[in-house]
Amino acid sequence: MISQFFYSVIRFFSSLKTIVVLLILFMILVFVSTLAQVDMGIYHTKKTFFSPLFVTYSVGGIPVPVFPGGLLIGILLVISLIAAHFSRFKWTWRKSGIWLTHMGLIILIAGSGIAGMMSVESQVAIEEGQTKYYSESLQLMELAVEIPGQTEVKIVSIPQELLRENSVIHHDLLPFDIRVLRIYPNSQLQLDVPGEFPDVKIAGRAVTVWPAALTRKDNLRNMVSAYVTLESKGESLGTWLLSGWLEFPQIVQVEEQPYYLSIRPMRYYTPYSLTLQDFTHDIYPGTTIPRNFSSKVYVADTQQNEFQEALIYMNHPLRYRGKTYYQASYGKDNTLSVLQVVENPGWILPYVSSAIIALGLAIQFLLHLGVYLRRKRHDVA
Amino acid sequence: MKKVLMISVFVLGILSLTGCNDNSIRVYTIPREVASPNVALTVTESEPALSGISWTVPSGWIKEEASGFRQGSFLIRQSNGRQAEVTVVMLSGNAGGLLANINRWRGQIGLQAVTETDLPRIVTAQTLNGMEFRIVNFAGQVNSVKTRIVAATLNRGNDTWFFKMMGHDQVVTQSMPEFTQFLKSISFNGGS
Repeated sequence: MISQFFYSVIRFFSSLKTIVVLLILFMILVFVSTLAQVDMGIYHTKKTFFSPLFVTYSVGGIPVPVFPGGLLIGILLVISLIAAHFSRFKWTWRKSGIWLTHMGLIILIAGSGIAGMMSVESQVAIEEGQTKYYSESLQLMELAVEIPGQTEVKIVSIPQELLRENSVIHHDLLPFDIRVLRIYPNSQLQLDVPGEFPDVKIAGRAVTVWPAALTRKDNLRNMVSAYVTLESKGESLGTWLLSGWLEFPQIVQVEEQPYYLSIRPMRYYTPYSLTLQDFTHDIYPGTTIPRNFSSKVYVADTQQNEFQEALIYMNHPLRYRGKTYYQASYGKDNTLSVLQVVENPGWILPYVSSAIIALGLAIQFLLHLGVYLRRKRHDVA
Repeated sequence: MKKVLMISVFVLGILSLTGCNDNSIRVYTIPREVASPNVALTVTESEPALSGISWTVPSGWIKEEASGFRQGSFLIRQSNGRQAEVTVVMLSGNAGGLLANINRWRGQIGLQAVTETDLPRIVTAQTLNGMEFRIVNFAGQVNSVKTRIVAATLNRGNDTWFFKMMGHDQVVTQSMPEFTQFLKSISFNGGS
């Protein structure tokens, strides 16, 4: 029964029809998402079309699946390739090239799936002489509660996905629960006009929040704002406005311990620091065309007792402890460097798969060349 | 049918492994010296550091306590008791945009809102000390007292600065030269 089941599964997925259908679905997905990217930007296109199992359409507030998403198609494609690979391709020296090429393709697609599911992208904007211990997400925001101690600061980072209206957030490190009264996924602030919660004041002035339309542009951020009430032992400690627009935290004191609350771009702290020693920007003489820009950084890792300088420039990123730092942009009269940070546990898979595919193709080519030369010699003889 | 059902169960089993979504709360511990400068061991009432801005305060302006994103606050008081207030506020982003802020100020002194098409008529662009300010000047009434607002906005990088003088019409009008000198004296990190 079980062996029959697996046989049926393998036969279904190894069928050429299955793979062709999956490829057609993928091509449709790529076509539609390419058109959508004009308005949605890369991040939201990926989130809508490629990251989920299904592309959904909201009907009365309920997401209804309307098309397979990139994740589903990718998984089924990998299953199909594996099923076809092991059921159709027998290992022989004559077929070794094709075998390796297909194996490389499976690894490549699986690697892109791992990257899609597990990679984290962020950015470090750092000025010359500045040292940073974190990178920031370009899209995601967090409600951060900083708890200063004598020698260290504990930070409780609450992702914005957990900030839903009427939700109550509890964490053992906090002496209060955070009740979300209102959440604005994108917002603007207005001073001197009391809002829905008139007791809330910023720096002694009334403030209100307008909801703003969500932006999907890659270079713009949705500024999250939220009204929260802090509750401790059944009593309210007050209502606060937290907003990505505010550059300073709201301070709550509980039993002589201050807690600093803020909504800010999500931070990814590292156990090492990065100092920008020098940023250089060369242009072609007589033009404004950039020729080269590079960042000389100093990495100080007291945890692993490693200290090193590194030069980051185009096609020459810094790889350190699972993160890769790419030179992305610059500003402030060439004193600010912006580094794109990628954390992808499967980063090596594209290189491995490319090497295997190249080896497979080379073997297949050489095998065919050998056959051709032998045939030619035979004909001459 | 049975085969289709079995294959579907197999696929769903594989897909269930992709259901994990890490939106959990995380806790970091960082050394004290690398924490945000806003984080202090104790809460004090001290004035926060200005965001790299400096100015020359005209004589006669009384400095008031600044806090939060109010970077500066001054009182202009005349001997007859009439007064005006000058505030300096910095917000990230465009803070709602110029039109919205103009209408907010107009609303504060009982004036009707304007539209985008009115902006060229009521907004004056003026370059002072190498920086371009957009300035509005209008008068209305607050509690039957003629009140004037003169406000200048300055976009600097990702931030918007608001320099606003609001108070009795006579005080604001007479303080215009000092307000202009104040704007001219503004510099950031030692330069414009």
